[in-house]
Amino acid sequence: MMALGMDWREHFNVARQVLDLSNSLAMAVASSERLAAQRFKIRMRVLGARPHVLDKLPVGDRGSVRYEVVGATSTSKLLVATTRHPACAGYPHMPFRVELFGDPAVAVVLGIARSRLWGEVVTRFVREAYPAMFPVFLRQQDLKRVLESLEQNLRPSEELRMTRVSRRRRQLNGDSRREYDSELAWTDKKLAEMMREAGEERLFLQRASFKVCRQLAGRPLRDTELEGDVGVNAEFAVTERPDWMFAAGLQVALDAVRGETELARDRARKPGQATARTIVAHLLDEPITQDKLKFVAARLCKMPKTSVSIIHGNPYLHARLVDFKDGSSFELLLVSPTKMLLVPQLRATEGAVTRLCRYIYEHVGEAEFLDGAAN
Amino acid sequence: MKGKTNNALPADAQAIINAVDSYEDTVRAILALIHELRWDEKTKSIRDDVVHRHGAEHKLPGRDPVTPDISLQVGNDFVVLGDVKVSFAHDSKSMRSIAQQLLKYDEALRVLLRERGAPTAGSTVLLTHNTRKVAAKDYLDASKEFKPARPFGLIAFYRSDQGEQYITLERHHGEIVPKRKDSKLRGVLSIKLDHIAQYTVKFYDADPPQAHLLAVLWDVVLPSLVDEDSFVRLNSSQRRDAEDAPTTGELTSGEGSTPQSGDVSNRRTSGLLIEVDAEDLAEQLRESFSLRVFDRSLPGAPRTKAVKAALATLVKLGLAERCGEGDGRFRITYRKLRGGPAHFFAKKLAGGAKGKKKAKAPRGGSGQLELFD
Repeated sequence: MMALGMDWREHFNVARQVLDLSNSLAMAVASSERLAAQRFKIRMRVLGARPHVLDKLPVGDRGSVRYEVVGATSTSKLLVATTRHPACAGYPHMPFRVELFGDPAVAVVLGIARSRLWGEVVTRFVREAYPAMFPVFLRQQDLKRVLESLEQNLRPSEELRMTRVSRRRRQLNGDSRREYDSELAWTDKKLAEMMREAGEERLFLQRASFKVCRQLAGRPLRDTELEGDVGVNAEFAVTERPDWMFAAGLQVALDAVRGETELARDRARKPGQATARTIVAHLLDEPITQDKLKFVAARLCKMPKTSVSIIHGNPYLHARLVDFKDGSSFELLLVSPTKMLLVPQLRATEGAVTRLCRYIYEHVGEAEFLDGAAN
Repeated sequence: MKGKTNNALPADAQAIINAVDSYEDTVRAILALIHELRWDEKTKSIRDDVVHRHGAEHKLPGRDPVTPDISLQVGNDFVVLGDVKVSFAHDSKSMRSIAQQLLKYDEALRVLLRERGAPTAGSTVLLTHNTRKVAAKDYLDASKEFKPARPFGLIAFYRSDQGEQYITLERHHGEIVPKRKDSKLRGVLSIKLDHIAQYTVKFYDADPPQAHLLAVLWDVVLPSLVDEDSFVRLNSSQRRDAEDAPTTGELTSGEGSTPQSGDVSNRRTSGLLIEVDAEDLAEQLRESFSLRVFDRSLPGAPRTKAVKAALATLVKLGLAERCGEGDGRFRITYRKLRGGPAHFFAKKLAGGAKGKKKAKAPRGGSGQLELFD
């Protein structure tokens, strides 16, 4: 559906009505379709949330964006953001909805906007809300499950074609001065082929844009109006059928994120406790051999907004890390070529745990993170 | 140099890092031994009927009490008292002193085993690094005076790499009770480092290398004394400064800059101000990072004197100033340190502090080191 003939004020007013808190999130998602267009996609982002997060959302002036709460329930808030950024001068206001659900709670941010405005508003919002609300990430297998679920829930005669994929390859060697190689490819591949290729080339997906195509009998494959994106930040966007994205895509991601936030919760050790609540990272890529330890140490030291002490670098890695975003601290031990221990110290917020896991995942290797007590 | 590891530490700073490493390995060895002694082979779990008395006073008839580094009673089965001498000793006088201490522990064990309801089996142990086990055994074997009445075992430890990291214990000499534990330790027992790493202990009775104490304070304790909101506000203020002017607003890794009072809002200022009391800080370390985690009545380590000396070093390094009355209160400027706290303090302690001594590599050497007079 194209939002033709609407000026931004009209679009804004309709968006506010659509996102109104008197509708359930699912209904708001479904209703948002009437406003969607190629550039005004329906956008959703999943975030981790601490208890009472709705009381701690950033409001007022935050740099070039002002946030205002215009509605609230016990599990959601409707906000309006106004930006002074010149790139958004044509449409500077954006209503968006923050909704909590599940236990442990996760937050979903929903809006109908162009990518520039969404990026300007939501990225800053998430940053300002930290640590009450914090970014989460989808591992490759989670992204794959999301995309496969979307594909499986298409209508008969429809298929998913990847149109643009952003991928990275981790670099853990001395030759490269970059931490990873990045690729951006425009393509027309099927999902399975794209994932197979990524696996063979040891690339991990950052973001995938897709089109839904229709194959009618005797006719060539044709594009529909339905396009969308799925990203490692648990961000989703779609031009049509948002209920399909919500049910088949977002819900799969919510399960993954819930597992992640459950793992990250309540990790700080209490004074006087004899043992810590460790997290084990099982590294699934190539083993970290002794010759790579120094590169792993170097990567850890480059983690933004942290202070890292390398206590022991060879033949095993022992480091301590302070997260300067909120004062959380951890010990990291690479106890075998495929196993890293994360030992939270006196403070270990969910946001810090998630941030550290993500950094290890993106810069050290594909990993599965599990509770240390059981593994 | 932001974010870079310094793989080329000067030799004297590397020696300090080695001393820290040695101390940490010793802590892990103690934990490994405690872990093994608590381990129930039948249920494949840690026993919860263990009484820990590490560092506590043990009575001796007619003499001053002793405070063994290791002391635990496992249910009604057995008691182990022990001493930790990572480098054993290098001169006969020190060796004799260690032997006499062990005989006192043997006597304390006798007293313990005669208490009502106590187990009937017990042994004393000496835990030493693998490189010193032969020297220790030779001395104790040859000594005419060292004749403990109850079982005694010399246990050597080292960290081993068998594809995975382990702490390895070997009962190299003598015997301990119960027999099942002795058989395991005699046959060389390797415990995975991840089983030991879950324990939160970072200090045992010997005074730690000051670099270790400083790094633990900087990496673990001090950030927990600043509330989350202060970090968040600092980051917000630096972000706004960065948006207003094209200068990076990171917490700097400069040295010796003058802190502003209260929370930092100026991008030129580096750090968060934390006021601490040396005694309170020492107590927190003992509460959370010593063997006191096994029993809150235990004395724990490090000593307040060691913590005060560490804080005095921060003053010398321009990272703190004294405040308030007396010599126990300090105001610390908490910020990122160039190269990470462990390497930062190693370099500073090796290179520039007043009244320094040159550090020596401790492995196979002279044990824990005094870095300042």
